[in-house]
Amino acid sequence: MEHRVKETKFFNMTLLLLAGLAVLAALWDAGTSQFRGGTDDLFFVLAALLVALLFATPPILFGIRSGWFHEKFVIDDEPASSEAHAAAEAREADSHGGKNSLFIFVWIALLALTGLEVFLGYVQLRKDLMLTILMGASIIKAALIVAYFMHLRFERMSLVLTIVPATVVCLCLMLILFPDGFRLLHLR
Amino acid sequence: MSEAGVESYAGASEWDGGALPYKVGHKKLGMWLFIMSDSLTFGALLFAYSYARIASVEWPKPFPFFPSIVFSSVMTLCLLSSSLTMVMAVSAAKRRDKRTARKWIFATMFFGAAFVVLHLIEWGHLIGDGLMAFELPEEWLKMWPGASPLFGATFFGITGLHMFHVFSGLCYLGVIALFIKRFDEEHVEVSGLYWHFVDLVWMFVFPLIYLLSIKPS
Amino acid sequence: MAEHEAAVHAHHPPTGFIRKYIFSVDHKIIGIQYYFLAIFSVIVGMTMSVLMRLQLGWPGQQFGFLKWIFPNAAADGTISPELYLSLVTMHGTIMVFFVLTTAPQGGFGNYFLPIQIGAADMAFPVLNMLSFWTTFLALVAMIGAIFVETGVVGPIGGWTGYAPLSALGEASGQKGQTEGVVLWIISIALFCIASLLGALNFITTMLNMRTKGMSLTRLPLSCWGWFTTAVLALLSFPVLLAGGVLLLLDHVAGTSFFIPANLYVNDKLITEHGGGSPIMWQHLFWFFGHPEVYIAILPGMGATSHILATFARKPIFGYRAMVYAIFAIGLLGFFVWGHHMFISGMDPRTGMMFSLITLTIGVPSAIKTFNWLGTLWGARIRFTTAMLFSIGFVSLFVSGGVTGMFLGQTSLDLQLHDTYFVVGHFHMIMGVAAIFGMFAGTYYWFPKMFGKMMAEGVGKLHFWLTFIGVNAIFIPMHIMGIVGAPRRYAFHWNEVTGEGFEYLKGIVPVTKFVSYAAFFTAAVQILFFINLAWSLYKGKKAAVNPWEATSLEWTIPSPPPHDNFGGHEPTVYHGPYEYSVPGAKTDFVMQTDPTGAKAGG
Repeated sequence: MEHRVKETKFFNMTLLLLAGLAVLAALWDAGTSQFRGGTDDLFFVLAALLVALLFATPPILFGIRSGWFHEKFVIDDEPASSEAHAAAEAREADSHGGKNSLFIFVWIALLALTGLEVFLGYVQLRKDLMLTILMGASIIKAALIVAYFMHLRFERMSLVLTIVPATVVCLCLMLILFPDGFRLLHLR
Repeated sequence: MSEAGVESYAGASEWDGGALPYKVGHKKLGMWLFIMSDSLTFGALLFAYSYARIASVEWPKPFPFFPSIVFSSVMTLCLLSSSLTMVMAVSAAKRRDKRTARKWIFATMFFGAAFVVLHLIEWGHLIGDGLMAFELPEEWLKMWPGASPLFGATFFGITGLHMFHVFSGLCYLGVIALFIKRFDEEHVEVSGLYWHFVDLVWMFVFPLIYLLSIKPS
Repeated sequence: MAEHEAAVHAHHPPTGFIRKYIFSVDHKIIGIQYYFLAIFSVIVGMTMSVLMRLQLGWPGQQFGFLKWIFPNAAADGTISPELYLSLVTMHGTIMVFFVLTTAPQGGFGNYFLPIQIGAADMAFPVLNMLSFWTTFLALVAMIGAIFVETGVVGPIGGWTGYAPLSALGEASGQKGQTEGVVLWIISIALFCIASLLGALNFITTMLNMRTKGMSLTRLPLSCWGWFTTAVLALLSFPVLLAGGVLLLLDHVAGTSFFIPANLYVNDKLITEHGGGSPIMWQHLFWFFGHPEVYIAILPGMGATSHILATFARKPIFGYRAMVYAIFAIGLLGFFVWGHHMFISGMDPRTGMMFSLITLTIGVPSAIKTFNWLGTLWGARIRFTTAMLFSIGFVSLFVSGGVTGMFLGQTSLDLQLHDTYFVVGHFHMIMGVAAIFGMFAGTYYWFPKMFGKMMAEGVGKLHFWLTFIGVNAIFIPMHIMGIVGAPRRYAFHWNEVTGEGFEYLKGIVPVTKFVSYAAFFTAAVQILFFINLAWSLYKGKKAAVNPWEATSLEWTIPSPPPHDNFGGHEPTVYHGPYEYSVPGAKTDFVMQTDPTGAKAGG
């Protein structure tokens, strides 16, 4: 039994390492090519990230099975009995002041990120850098809104895993439109 | 599967039926699924916009930092603040404090309406400049020769659809606020989800459409 | 449409008040409404295909009755090329959207998903009603598109409505690209909204409303089929909605999302548009379009698995593998839309990726096929009509799927694209196989839906004639395609005038044979409609469980009462396919049977 646990650990570590290497390859290509019109580079990066995802899937699934994510990410776990439920509700009612201040903090963070974006527009940054930072900031903002304002942070992990990956994969799929967009200009 | 039939583990976990597997009611799950779907509609529109922009020789950059960008930043501020007030409304509703919840929803609607009004004013200015869905103003064409006429199309198309969503959100919130006695906290929360989603979409529309088209000084 | 409402009334004569049977929120009534909407559409679509075959077999010939059907469009009794193209478009659109998407999912799914999971209704009954009536409006708009154009019966752009011609409108100076297209786009957009609302309803119902003991591995495979279909619909229809909005803007607001500059149409240079890209429409359309293919076929797969296990009196072979395969097909279905666009001018490197993933879909499909065969292997099969249609589904799925492997390869697709090979392929797998799934579902579930048995003898005759007929239609089409006959052409070789393609002279007899086979098959369907109508009124009364099946719908009266399980929730103790369990009293153990568990143990 112990032997098998060790084996699983080794297996997962190897896969994570490979996933990390794939991410590094993607980053390296992104860094050296800077996406200057090359769809090859875009493709290489996407393929590398996909490979990383594939490698990372078994460890992540293992993590889910062994309850690692559960402990880390799920705050409001199901109460065992009705008493516990009542207690949890009371706790929630107490913590509302605290939660509201959390929301105000998130709001301030969103405003700050927006301010950063507008500031970047004011100083007229280089276009490619600007686009990258804007998209990064927007994704962070969207994540903040989804996690805190839409309470996804306080839902079960299974709901998060149902909603987020499907949407993200479908949106990322549409990236395949871009190689055509780049090519179109040269076809004229 | 005949072996599985032997074990009778009915009700062993929430996934085995007779329970809500996500601990989330029908309405909330339904709204989340709707949001997934709608985010793909907006995603497709924004991808179409990016595609058109990549494939164009020249793209107009007509928004001067002052007043256009500052104006649209104020719109963003309105929408973000409306999200905050909506969160407050939801937590008030969770405390079963419907009176406070209604007040916060009205505040949300105020900010949302302000957004729509400001947006319409901006549209009015742009249309006054001669920007139409199908053509660019003469001066813009002088400034950016060969600019793609798709600027107006994407601008009005995407912001128009977003504004339509804000407007439906206003109606939705209005119904919830007016008849709040009949609705429980789940209704308020679900309407909040929708409202935050509209806000979320703007978080992508604002940088992609406005900030990347700032007029070079 | 009047007839379909009347039909709904006819089944429930005594309590005919509008709330209960027209604007009903009962998932069973809505399912039946969807079903009859699909039947109406299939009659329209099939009539159009017969007219198309008439033109293809005897191009340019005068037929008196055409003057009577199309007093404007075919005033001289012949089918003009534009009229032919509009028939192609309307046949494709009506069949794909209002039959293949509506009947298996909206009809059977709506009726049986809640019952099979042990729920009293869908999660959002009112939304369900709204989805149906939005679909109905979409059908009205689509039928309207037939009448608004002059000289044709609707838009002529094919069911894909390819830009730029569909986006140009009046400017193209082309018959059949004006108001009809607007109505067509509006209809599609309405249908998108209806479908994604319906899909959301399905997913919520399936996840949240399963009864006690109905764990995910105890769900009938038909439920998994409907569920995966709903996921696909939820994630693919919004993209088409976005594309449809853009196309509508192009068409009515003069924008040019899909119209490139310097376009030369009908001897005229288009000056008022420019800057767009027709490939973008293809991307947006096929992003939806390929999952749509699976939306059409997956409910059929689910129903087939369910019916095969029932009449093979064996547990389904590899339940988990079947579920994973359905999901794998659904997931991979999102990654392959580019294989419809290999020769569109798309980036060839993406073409390679699309080609590889397309071929990968063969793996889960093969898993499903072999599991079906494994279920049939060594079984004491009861050859009822439903079973025959299910086996026919497997057969057509194989013969249609194998040709898909050909078309998925870029190099071969260059040759075969837009030929009759493609027509044969997708009719085989998406048209006929899905329709066989629907027939199987009809023969299997009709007793539950209407409380009457369908006539088995006529049904078996219907199966054999249809099976022979469809193979006679679509297998020769593959050969025509390899010879090089292009699709969407009003004729290939006109013997009388000597017009057309010289090199296609040789396939004229084949074309005529296909036309005869098509008339034959269409005529055979009358048997089905007669059987359906006759059984509704005069059929033998159905027992609670006529097929000795195990799933929950067979525990309640036929037809089921308003709240399905009479107010109490059933408890489930078994998987759905407990047939021939050793030691059990009967050769089937109902899912709700607590004693069977002990006997089985």
